[in-house]
Formats: sequence, C-alpha cells, structure tokens
Amino acid sequence: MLDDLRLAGANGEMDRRLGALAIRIRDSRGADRVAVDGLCRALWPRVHVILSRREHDAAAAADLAQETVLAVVAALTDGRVEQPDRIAAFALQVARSLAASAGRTRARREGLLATFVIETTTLPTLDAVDLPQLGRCIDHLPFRERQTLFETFFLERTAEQTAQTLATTASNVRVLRHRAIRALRRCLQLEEEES
Amino acid sequence: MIVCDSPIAEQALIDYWVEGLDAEGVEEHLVTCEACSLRMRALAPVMIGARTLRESMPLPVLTRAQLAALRDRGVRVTERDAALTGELAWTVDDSDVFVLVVPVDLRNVDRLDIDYCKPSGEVMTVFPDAPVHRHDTEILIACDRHIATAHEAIRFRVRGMIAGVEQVLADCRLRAVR
Repeated sequence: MLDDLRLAGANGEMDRRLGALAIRIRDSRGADRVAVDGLCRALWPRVHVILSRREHDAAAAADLAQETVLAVVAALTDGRVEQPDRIAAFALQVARSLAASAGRTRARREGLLATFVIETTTLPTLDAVDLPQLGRCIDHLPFRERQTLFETFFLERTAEQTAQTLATTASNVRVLRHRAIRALRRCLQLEEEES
Repeated sequence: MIVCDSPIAEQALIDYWVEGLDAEGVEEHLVTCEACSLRMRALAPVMIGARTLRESMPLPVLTRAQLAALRDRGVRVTERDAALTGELAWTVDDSDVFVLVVPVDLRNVDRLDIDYCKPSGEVMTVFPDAPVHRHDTEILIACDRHIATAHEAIRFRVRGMIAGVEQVLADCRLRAVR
C-alpha cells in the first residue's frame, strides 16, 4: 500500500510547479521574492496540516509550519538542496525533523525571519469547530459510532482495544470511525448532506 | 477544481490522522498533492475539535492524585459522596467539574466497566476496563459541567467482574440543576 501511495502521490503538475519555483529561488540565491512567496504559499497548507496532526497546540503547529517553509527557502538559497525538483519531499523531511527536534528554539526561527519575510496573516489556517455544538453532535450519534469516538479520542485507545468493547474487528472500528466523522461533519454543516 | 489521479481514500486519511497508519506514505502524498491536502484540511477540524474537547475535560475516572492535580491547576471541583444507588443533584454554580465519590470495595474486582446512561438506562457510552487500583475503596467519577448540563440527568452504572461473574456494584444518577 505504501508503494502505491508513493507512486500515486506524485502529483506531477504540482511537483513541476514547486520545482520550478525552487530552481528560481536557488538560482537567484533567494533574491526572486515572487518565487519565494509562491513556494511558501504552496508548501504552507500541506506542511501545516501534517504538523497540525503532530502538534496539539495550533499556534505551535503554525510556528513550526512557518519555520519549515523558511528553512526550505534558506536551504535553497544556500545551495543545500540537491534536487530542487523534489522540493516537496525535502520540505516534508524538514518538517519531520523540526517536529522531532526537542531543542527547537525561538532564536532559530528569529534568525530565519531576519532573512526572509512571510506574511502569515494571509496563510490559510484550519477551521475551528464550535466545541459545544460538536459535543451535541457526538451525543446524537448512534451508540457504536459514539463509543468508537469516545474510545479513540477520549480514552486514546487503539482500534484493536475498541474492537473488544464492541465485539467486532479493528477494521470495522475504522469503518465506524469514518462513518462517525462524516456524520459529525454533516451535523456541523461542514459537508453537504449525501443524496 | 483540483483533482488527484489516485486520491487517498477518506477513511485512510482519518486512519492516518488518528492512528498514524501508513504515515510515511500518506504524508509523502499530502505534501505533493493539493487535492488530497485540501481534503485532509477539511477533515482535520473535526478531529482536532474532538482532541480539544478531550483535553479540556477531566479523565472520566480519577485517582485522588489526579483530582488533587486538577485542583492545583485551578479547576473548580465540586466533590460529593454518592450512595450506591440514588440521585445526586448538582446545583451548577461556578464549578467546572463534579466528582461523584462512589463507595465501592475493589479488592475482589478483576475488571471494572462504567456505563454512562440516559435516565431510562439506555447506554450512551461505556468506559471499559476503567483504570482503578484493587486496594481502592472508592471510585471517583468525574463529570464536566458541559456534559452534565447537556443532559436531563446522567446515570452511572458501575459493573465489576468478580470471580468471573459480572455484578452491578453501583447505579447512581447525577442531575445538574441550573
């Protein structure tokens, strides 16, 4: 499955577009500000959503995403990126490395910000849901879906553990979880009602 | 409209987010695929919301040390002894969490499950295999004010497995009064 995803993930057009911007940044040593801005804006949403999964604090995820795109630009400017045509993969490695780095510091981010400017107020953030309404929506789920969410998010139990409660399989728990998330999105009016 | 030739299935995106399933492959796809990245961004808020709800609430069953830690953090707690059966009224004033102290001797209990029920007895959720110590003589069931006030009443049914036989050890209700 992983191999399939890797092959399928190669969105060729996107890679070419990002690669072209990366090459412009490398060749201009960062002076091509249009390319810098374009690359930052293209990478930000992808990196940000991945980091939002890892970082429970929204501000920390946004800071880390900003740090990632700026570090990518700095690496291009310094000629440290061997394959600028694969800049998205490089950005992912940077994001993972920064997320795993326990010693990340404000100084490092400030050093990057002193060199490059990215206007973060216009970057897309993840929508925040109405938490009381989310709670009410969870209450209205059928028992098995609600139980799956309770064990997943509130008890932080695995699909295998939840499967024991519901006398089913882990695969079925994942189906229930998917169904529950879809129902919550509909309840929160984040998704159109299925016809 | 942005499309992906081989989109990651929605369930796989959720499995990745929640469990980290196929994280490496999914992330490699997301970082290069605008369409799937947008779909992930659309799904994420609900899961972040559920995570935030959990982080804003106390654990459903507390130890004395966890209860003390809550108070140390400034959480306002109302703590009341509960009978094994019967109802407690919580006049919701300015406290954040209500803790029912249920007197249950756990020395012979091999496993403890707690059902969160409607007053009718219909089970809303189950806390299976709740983490308690065998030497305890009480269970501290915590209820967040938002949960309590969202329901007419909540019934807590405590089931214990003793020598291979399940027994109802307590069946009490909490009614929030505004």
